Amino acid sequence: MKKNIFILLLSVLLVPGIAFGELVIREPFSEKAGDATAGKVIYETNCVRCHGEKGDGEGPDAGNMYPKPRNFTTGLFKFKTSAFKEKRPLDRDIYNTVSNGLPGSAMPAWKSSLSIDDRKNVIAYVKQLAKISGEAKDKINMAGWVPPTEKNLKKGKKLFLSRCSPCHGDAGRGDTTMSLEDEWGGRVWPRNFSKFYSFRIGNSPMEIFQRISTGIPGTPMPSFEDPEIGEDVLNTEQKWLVANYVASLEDRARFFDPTRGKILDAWKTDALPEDIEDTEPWQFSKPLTFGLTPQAAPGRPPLNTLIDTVTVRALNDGKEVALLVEWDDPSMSVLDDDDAATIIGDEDVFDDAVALYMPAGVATDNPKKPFFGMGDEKTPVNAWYLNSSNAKKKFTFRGSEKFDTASTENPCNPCAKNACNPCAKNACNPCAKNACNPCAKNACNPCAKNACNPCAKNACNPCAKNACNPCGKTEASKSEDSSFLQQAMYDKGRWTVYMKRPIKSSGPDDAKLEVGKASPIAFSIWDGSNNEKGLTHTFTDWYWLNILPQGKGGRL
Amino acid sequence: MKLNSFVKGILVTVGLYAALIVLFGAVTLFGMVEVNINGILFEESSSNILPSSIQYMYIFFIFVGVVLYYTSSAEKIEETIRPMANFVFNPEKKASIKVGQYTMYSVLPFFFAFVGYNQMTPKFPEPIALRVIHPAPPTTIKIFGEPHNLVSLENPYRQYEKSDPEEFKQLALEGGFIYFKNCFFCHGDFLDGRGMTSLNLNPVPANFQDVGTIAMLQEAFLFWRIGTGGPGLPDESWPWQSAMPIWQNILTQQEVWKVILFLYDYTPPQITPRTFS
Repeated sequence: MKKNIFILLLSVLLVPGIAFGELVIREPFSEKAGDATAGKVIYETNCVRCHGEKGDGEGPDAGNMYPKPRNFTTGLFKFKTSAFKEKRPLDRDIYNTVSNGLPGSAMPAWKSSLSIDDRKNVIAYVKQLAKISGEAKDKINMAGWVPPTEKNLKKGKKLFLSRCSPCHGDAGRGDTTMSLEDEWGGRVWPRNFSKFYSFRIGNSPMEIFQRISTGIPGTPMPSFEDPEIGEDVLNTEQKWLVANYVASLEDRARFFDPTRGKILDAWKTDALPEDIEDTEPWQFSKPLTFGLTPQAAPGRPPLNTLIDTVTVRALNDGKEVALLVEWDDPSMSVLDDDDAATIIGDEDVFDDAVALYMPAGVATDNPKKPFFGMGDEKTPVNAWYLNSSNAKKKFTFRGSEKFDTASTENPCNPCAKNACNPCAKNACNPCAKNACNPCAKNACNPCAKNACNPCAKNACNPCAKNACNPCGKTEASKSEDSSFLQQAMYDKGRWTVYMKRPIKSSGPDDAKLEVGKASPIAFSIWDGSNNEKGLTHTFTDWYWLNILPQGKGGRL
Repeated sequence: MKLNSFVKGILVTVGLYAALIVLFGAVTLFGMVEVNINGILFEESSSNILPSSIQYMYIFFIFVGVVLYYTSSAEKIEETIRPMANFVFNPEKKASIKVGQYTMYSVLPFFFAFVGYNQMTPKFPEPIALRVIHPAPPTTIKIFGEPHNLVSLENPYRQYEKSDPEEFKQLALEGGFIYFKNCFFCHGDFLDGRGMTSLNLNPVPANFQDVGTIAMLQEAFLFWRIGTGGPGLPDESWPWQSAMPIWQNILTQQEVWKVILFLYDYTPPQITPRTFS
């Protein structure tokens, strides 16, 4: 008996023992400088593809990157914690960048594949390429921390609105008012502070304080210690106030967490929202955020995308299902005479647009689905499509103004139920033989080679401004029949689209929704000011829209 | 203190179970690595020491062993079940046991009601359907406008590996350019299927570092999968779900072969293409 208990105790004690041993064995970070000769070997096997042999950021793969790989030869380092007047970074700064990578760029976190010594050696070599000798002495003065109390956040907001909002937007969602470039000629989009995960280094008040203090060298982000910016200079306490406020803007509710599953629940409610401004019923819904993937399109690095998530809520009242689709877009892109969009947009400005796909004419329990996105010849999808310019026909919308386009009677309204489904058999069908479609034979298959390439300029693109677009010239009108309703609103860097449709299918080409069953659903988003149209867009694959016969928490 | 064998049996089972959980838990914990995908940090196990099904099997055997030991002789059975019998029949009419009995009889209906309610409440889970990850390839397939026999199809550049290593190196390097231009957004910098968009996609992008993927396949299979992409899969593999683009529309035939060369060249040396011979 004693022996048994001894063995039991031993096996339980073994575990903390292993844990302690593991901690002791792990190598601590040594302050010893690296060896540049050994670093050169590491650099040439791992870094050269992007940063180039001379460290000029012109490696063979550099052309595909956005943002571009760093050019070390200028000696500029974006993320440093040495004082503003010191151009050199601390070794620790480069070490952190190499180890943790720069999220949102192509720089990977090397700590998973290079040892601490390898990383230190490569830093020594990078410093040699940058012609930096020694290490910066002065660090950022971080004294004067203030707690993030409500009063202090208010003070921080005031400073934020006067200094930061021209670039980062009033709500800090990166809805800039100007077109910004970095020193290397690349387009720069200011950070959306609500997306805490998109920060290159981190969004803790301390890290934001460091960026405010030194700026981001090489980019339009200035240092607020720099006397050149005149009276906008911030003292240490003010910097902490702003840093606390910026950190408080993070939005964890809209974070895309893949572990939350793929089911969007549409709980039952007594009354659906009447319009986009009726926000009260949404408290009974559960938002779900989807990650958006850039479509592989010829000639465009997929990294160059600004919209990475879309947040959706859904409700039903037994007869209709309502969806609220929200996404952050730094610019509202409207075609024609919109100066603001032209200033912000790259070369050409296209429409911002959203499409929501459901399999057309396929029963919910049929496991076979169409290809997400536009479907294919045999299995079409039913789409709700809304873009910013067909709405503008009727409404001017700026800031919080909104537009309606609800119609099932108007055959050429792209918002009519089947209009944007190229394979549907209705009047607005670009695939019909008599329609103005130059590539009729393969037009329904967006994947067919050379067929109806949506990237070709003005060719058969349902989203192009006027070319071959049966919907383009028609005035969108508000219909008497409000069975399909779509409303959109752009406010402070965020699009909100409200969509409502009957659950009952209207015909063989319509989506088959059923109460108590999950139906496949997918989304696509176009960012018109970032050269997105046609095939160039971001998408989700199939998720599920679950129309529940009961309210939240089992309420019947 | 002398313990009743019933209590001992429970203690031993629970003790071994706990020790196993702690041990496996600790082992997996140390194997945890931080994975950073597009700024989102994930902890995941770098090495799966034992799959959970095997852990459950061990626990089952422990339980069976304990039961066997404590029922090995008539005396032991008697001793083991005595507390249970005492509780149910209460021969000594102890007040404490009576309280226990009444408590149990009043709690049990609630327990069954709860189980019943839980089973009756409608649940709407994600529809389940089984997807074949590595489908059998068709023997002949039309890629790049011409029919290919996937059994006899070989990588035209593979011959240089022996005949002209310099040329081979150059071709693999060119394959790398194509990879980092087109593929790494999903399949990752390290070819581990952990690219920045990988979290959005289901099925997840293939991990080429894994010995269970390309090391198990012929180059012709890769040619077919890259060329026709997700929509080119047979029905049992859900062609509508995979986000793999149809690369024959974007790349040339030569580029696809070079990328395949790069995939095997850049992964660990034990990952080599399978051949029919």
